[in-house]
Amino acid sequence: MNAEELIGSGSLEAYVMGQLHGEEAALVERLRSSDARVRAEIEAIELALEQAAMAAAVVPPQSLKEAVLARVTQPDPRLGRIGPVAPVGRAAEVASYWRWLAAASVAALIGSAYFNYRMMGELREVRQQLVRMEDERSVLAQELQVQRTALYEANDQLAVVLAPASRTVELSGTANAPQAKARVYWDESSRSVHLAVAELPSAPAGKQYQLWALLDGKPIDAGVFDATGRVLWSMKEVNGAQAFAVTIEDAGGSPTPTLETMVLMGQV
Amino acid sequence: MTATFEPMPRDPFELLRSVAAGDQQALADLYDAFSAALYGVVLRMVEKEEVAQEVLQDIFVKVWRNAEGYDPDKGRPFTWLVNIARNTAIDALRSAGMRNAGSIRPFDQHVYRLGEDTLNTDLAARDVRAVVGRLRNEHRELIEMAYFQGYSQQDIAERTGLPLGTVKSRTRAALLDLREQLKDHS
Repeated sequence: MNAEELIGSGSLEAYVMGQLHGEEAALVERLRSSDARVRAEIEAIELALEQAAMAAAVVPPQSLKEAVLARVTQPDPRLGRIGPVAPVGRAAEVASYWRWLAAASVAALIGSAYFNYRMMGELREVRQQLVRMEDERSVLAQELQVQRTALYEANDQLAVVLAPASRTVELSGTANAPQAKARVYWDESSRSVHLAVAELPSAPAGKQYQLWALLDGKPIDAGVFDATGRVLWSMKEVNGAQAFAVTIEDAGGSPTPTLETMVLMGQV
Repeated sequence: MTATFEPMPRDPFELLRSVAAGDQQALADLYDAFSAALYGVVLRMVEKEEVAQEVLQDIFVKVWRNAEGYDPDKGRPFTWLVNIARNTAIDALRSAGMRNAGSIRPFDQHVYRLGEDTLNTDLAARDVRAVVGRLRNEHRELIEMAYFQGYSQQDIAERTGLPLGTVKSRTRAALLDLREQLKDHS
């Protein structure tokens, strides 16, 4: 095919529009470099299409230019300049991009997994710490309640002891417990009875001390108490008494006193 | 041939050489000079703006990477650019399952038609658009399908029912028509 024939064939138009490949394109390129008419014809076709394209131009959003420039300035491995790339190099270029993407994804996944692992560990620790602190807080709150109750009680007891109407009855040890000593505070107007142990051995296992009010020779139960644990025991109300006595009874108390176990006695 | 357009601030040949040497300002200048023309082509091919914007970015990244591969002996810079644009747009359409080799949509379903659309409001461009609009319908359609839609001669032959040889000769006739109209215009 000579230059004239080539120009008239329509191959040059197809060449410029990217429709020619392989042998046909090679033929055009050969004649283009050897024949000035072919060169001029191609240039004229290019210019006409270029003008048509300019006339059909659409201005893209301004942000696109910044995006393009950002992509080429980023130190991004897939944008690295890799020298001239022939059209057939596209597949390799895409493959290397996907390889890079895959590697980056795996790295990100590993990083994310490690981060999650670390965060889970820390979260677990923080949760445990929170539970521990909640326990401590609860213990402290209970302790505070106990202390508060004790304080109220102590105030009440102090009030009892210091009350003007309160009568103090000294109890002394009997032959069963010569060293024993205790004191009963009896408020006749409110009938309340309190007992302070000064000296008293612990009761045998399964046994408790029991206070009795003696009125006209009859013992009246005034409640049980222990040798230790409290400064002042709050006992049952007593309407009237000429004396108070303490015996050792089964734990929880007994309806009638066991006189053989009497350890304390005192006259009002 | 025509003074329809503003002269380029720098010769596009020189711009491509600078881009090949890693000059980012040259890439920015090249973008300013040709992004709208390329975007027009891409938009006509993919029709969705968000896709077209992605494609346009990819085009200029490819230009940045492959500028060394530009051979002035094989054509003008814009011809090289528009070939990259066309191939990138076709790749995007294929990967979106919107276009398969050999398949072609009916011509009248295209959204943007040369010489009729109002995408470009630039006055000088409007003059050339009027010129394109004066082309015979079959010529305009051939240029549109081949140059702006990127269809192969085989695709066009199937679409139009014309023999391959006729597609070729009619495309030449269409280009001669366009060149004649542009000559009269200037």
